[in-house]
Amino acid sequence: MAKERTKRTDKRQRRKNPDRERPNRRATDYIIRHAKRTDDVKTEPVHKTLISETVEQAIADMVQTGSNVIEEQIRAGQAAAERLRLGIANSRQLNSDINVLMENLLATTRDVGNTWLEVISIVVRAIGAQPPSGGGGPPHTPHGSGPVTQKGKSGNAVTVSTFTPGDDDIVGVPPQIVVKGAKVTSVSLNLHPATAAFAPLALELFAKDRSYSLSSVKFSQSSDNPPRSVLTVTVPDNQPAGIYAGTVVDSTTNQAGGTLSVTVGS
Amino acid sequence: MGKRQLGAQRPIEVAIIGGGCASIAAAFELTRPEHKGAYHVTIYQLGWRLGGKGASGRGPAGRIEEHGLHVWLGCYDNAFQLLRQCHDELKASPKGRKPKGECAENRLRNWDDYFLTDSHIAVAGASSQGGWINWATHFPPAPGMPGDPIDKQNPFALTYYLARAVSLLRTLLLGLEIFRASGETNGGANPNSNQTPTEPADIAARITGLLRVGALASAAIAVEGLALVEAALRSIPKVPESMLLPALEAIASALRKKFEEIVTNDDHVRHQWEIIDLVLANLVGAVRYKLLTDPRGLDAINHLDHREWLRENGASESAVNSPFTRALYDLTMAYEGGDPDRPAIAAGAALRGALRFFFCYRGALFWKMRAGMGDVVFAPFYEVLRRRGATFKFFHRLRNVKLADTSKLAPGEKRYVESLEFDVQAETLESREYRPLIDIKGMRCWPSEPDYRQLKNGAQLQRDGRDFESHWDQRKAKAVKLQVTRDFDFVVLGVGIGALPDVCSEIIAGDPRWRSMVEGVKTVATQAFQIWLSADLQELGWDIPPVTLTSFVKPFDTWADMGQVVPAENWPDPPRTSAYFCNVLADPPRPPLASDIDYPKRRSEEVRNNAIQFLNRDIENLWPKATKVIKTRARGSGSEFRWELLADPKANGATKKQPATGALFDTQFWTANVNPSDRYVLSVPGSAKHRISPLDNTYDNLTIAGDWTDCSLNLGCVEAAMMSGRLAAHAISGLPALEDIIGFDHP
Repeated sequence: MAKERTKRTDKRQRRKNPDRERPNRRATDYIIRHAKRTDDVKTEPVHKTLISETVEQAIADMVQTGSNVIEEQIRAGQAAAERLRLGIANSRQLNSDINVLMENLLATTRDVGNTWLEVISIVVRAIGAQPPSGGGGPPHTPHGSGPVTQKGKSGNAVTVSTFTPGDDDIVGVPPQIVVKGAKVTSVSLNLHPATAAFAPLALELFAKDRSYSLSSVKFSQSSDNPPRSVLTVTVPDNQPAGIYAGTVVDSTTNQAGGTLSVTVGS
Repeated sequence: MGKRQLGAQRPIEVAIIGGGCASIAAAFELTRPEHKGAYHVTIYQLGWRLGGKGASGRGPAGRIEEHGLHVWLGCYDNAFQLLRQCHDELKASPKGRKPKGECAENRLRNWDDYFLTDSHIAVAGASSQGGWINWATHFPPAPGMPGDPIDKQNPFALTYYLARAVSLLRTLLLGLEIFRASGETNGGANPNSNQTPTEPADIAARITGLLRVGALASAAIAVEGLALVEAALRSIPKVPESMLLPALEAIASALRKKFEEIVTNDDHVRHQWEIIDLVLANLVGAVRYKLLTDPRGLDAINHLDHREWLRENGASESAVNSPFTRALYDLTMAYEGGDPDRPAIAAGAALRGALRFFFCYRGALFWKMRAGMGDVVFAPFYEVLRRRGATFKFFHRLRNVKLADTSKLAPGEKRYVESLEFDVQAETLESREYRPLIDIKGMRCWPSEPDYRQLKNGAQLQRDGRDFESHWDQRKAKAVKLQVTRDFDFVVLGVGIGALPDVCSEIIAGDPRWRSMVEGVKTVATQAFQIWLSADLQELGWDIPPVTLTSFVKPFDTWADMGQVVPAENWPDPPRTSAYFCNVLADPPRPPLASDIDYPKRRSEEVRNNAIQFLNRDIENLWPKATKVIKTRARGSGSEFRWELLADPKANGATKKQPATGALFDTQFWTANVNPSDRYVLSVPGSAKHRISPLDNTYDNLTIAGDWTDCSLNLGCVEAAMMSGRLAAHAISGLPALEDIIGFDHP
């Protein structure tokens, strides 16, 4: 099978960099990926030899329900964890959730939904922290009161952060505002979430001339204990001057929950 | 491949070095029709046969002679997928013609005709009443066949895992049979005795009997659940101690204590408890280490030894030292330096392998080949690759991989392989292509020696006793040097890791990652022997179906009955069965010199002596009727293997039979696998981080392939090698997609 070789003048071949070099080892990704590949894997037939009927039935029932329970719990746990990460803490509803979570965990002997453990660990850390004794710290208001406003300064900008709880169970803690960009002169945030589940997302802000916009505006969670929501506004030096305004929506439902305006000086 | 059309693009030349599983997998992927001839592969192989650690040959009476025990597992999805495709392609003859040199018989068989499924596994352990006992179990068949598409019956889906978990526990707890070798003479109580208990311990055993069915399983689930909750709560930093934890600890501790008291004197229940204990420890550890959410998956615990991991998560010493734990080490040859006092396997790799072994098998747990691995695997791959246009260069020993000097690199250009230096060990007559296969009973096979008739000065080479596969036999006919762009474009380095220090010294000297890889990824030499017997297992005293057994005594702790290969051999008077034994082989205190050409012979003699001693002293614990009592002046009374049981391949009716002494063992086959490239790859704790992936693109025309690479499975086995080969092909061509390499993205 030898081929006659002629003089090769080709360019040197080089390997391309692969899209990735490492396997994805995260078990939750693995479970979801393989759950999608097979829709109806049936439990294999149980062999009847050597086991009592009652044990066999119990095992079969457990397998039948086990995977549904675990997958539901993973989804529920992920949703709860997501709420917590956005810094809505100390709510009465959440305290109630903790008791339910603990009971479920104890009751389910084969629960391997680790996202529940993440939720518990976050919440327990939050509960375990001592509340501030007075002075300093973020302002808060008793349940059912009106808006809470915090004024401050970040860089060259004056910041005003107002939080009006729409639910009696939400204790209002206005997000902290962090400004990056020397040309920003003021930032004004006004949030009025309807429920404790509100997860803020700032949509693109537009100037009066809609050809100019600002999108580098992000909500995140601080590493404080308890964690607090933080709005970071980043404005490049070449951003045209003007007032950029837009809506803040719930990232999970797209329901409007506030407004944001950023003033960029000349 | 025909002549190229005018203006057609020249194929990319890929030099694949080594002919083991990984290299063959890479070649098979790169030559797929989907690539439309974009790649031409040339496989460079030392000696006369493909296979690497999996090579086999045919000796006298066409008997199969292997490097060791090669049993394929039902979870080897990548290996089976490629093998099945290869056999299907071999069956399909182009335009109805049989290609020259191929055997018509081969093309009529399906791939599964070459395999025998086996679902029996046994472990040997010490009995509480003294001596050895063997636990054997039959694993139920699983849906599908290995290598089936994943979408059909996905063995990796969670629901499937759960169902198999239940099935596995049921099998291990309630389906395990305990037995002793029949006709034993060393006394000891029969565990199935019906004697009425009178002692408190025996009364406890009666209570145990009540717990055996149903209630024991329920209790196990209760204990398991408690341990899970206990461990979960431990992982939360601020749960007050006054809450549930003390109560849980007390309950779990009381339950564990109760079981340990019950199980001490009853072998049957003790093994059940050991299994429960092992499962519990793994579950507790999985929760404690948050393995489900750790992005590293099971790699997160690779710094721990498997036993260390079990202890840390509450397993008892009994479970940690149980035959079941030992079996894991024995089956993976996990003894550093071949020293039985240095067991070592990384916990993550062990758990990953166990999960795939127990939960992902399809069809049957084991798939034993009905002939040698060379016959079933490498001969078909060789024929299909030849059909696809691959070139094979036998008798080529790699000497050096040379990098281009950095002064030659353009700005931003990566380092690359500039040349490959080979010794040509022997040349063929008139430079003809070497034809490596022979026909035995209609099957294409590799012989145990080269065909000297095809070689220049072949008769002299034979008289010289050339050992073409020996690292220490460096004799050659000439040297050749291949140049990048002129002779090759890409290199797939598929030699064993043991060979790298000799052939990649430049890379290793200049690249700390390669240095730590060759130092950190350990290997071990192995020893094996095969015997052919004129009695079957039942006549030898083994009462249950044929098994694969491990955890037995060193130096040969693993035995497989291989009677299924005898029909493929060519005995004038076929033996009744064949048995393979294998284990690690300890390294000498100092590594042998490169010039020590007799080193392999000395180690071979050592293995021979080990095997004879094993047969005389230990085999009666498995085959009580295979030994006889002898009386000698020096030793008094003792036992000796019944040498007359051995089948001599050179004996026929006319030949006078040899006397039945230990010298008859010389008619059998044994091997000391001491070549650096033949050493078995280990997964010792802390070694995984030293592995380099075939996808690594530091040298932009080089990739590596082998079970020693970072191939995701990272265990020494055929499946890991095949995965690595597929990754090497992806590195060069982008195919197969990583998502199509089964189990690559596995925790």
